Amino acid sequence: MVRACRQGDAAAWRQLVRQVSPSMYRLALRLLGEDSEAQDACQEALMRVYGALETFDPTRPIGPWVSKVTYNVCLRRLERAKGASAVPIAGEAELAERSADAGLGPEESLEQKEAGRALEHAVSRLAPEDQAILMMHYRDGLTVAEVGEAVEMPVNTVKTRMRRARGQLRGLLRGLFGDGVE
Amino acid sequence: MSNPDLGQLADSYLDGDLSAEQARWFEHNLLRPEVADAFRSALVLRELLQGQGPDELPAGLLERLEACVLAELDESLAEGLMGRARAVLSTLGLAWRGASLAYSGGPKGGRETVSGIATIRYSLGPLAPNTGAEEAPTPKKKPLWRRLLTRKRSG
Repeated sequence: MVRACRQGDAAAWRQLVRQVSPSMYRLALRLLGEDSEAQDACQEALMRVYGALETFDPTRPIGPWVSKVTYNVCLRRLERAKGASAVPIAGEAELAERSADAGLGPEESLEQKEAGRALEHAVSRLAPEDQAILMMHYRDGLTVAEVGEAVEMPVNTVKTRMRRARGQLRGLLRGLFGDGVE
Repeated sequence: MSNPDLGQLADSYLDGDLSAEQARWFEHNLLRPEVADAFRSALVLRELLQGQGPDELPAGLLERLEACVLAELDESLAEGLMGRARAVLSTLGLAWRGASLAYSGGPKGGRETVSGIATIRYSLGPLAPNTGAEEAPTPKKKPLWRRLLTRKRSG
């Protein structure tokens, strides 16, 4: 598919966009917290993927590389936003609310929705790098090595950060779940 | 073993990062309430993390992304065609100019002629350095009648 994309095959590009856009959007939404920002970031990241596809090794899986591009685009946007004003793009609670509502459909039980909101709220309090690591590994199924490639960290550093992030989440979710999640 | 340690142990077990011995110990002790709790917590947290974020894209995003990529593709294709067309035209232009030059025989149509025949002057002595100064013209010999007239007047 990558080779066909390099040759300008429109159908191959459509297939690639369909394949990678959900994980791109989820990651962007997680890091930026706002739907319009996340959509703009997805578009910017996809254009970078388009421009740099010639440099990509087609024998490797494209998912981690696209995640890496998206991650870097989002980090740059976060830095710009931080520099532009002291007010964050979205407040923590608002961010958790939007993310949780976006993630759960109407068929989810109230308990699950509560749990989802609580998790989103807790995750939003982690560092952006940790949020990205958890999203890529657990939600998108990237291996630890692939996550390391995407966030440009050694494997051991990724493992350490994941362990620390999970510990933080356990602490933040302790009050809500009681004995369920310690 | 404290609960945070058990929690990390459970996470590592689920990640497949434990050694064979550690994994055996963990499985053997799953019947202990604190280990079972830690394992259950790790599973719940893992499930929550696996369910974070939306499954579907918001309405219109996929079309927007596809349109962006296809627009870039069209632009690249157009640039490629223009480039090839320019290359063909410039080759034709060179061929035309070359043919027209060859036909005309030179920059001014080949009609520029060298006036006169250069006088070749010989010298038996060494060549004097060219100072760049013009030589005084050789005086012309007067005609005979003028010489006679001048001699008559002077004489």
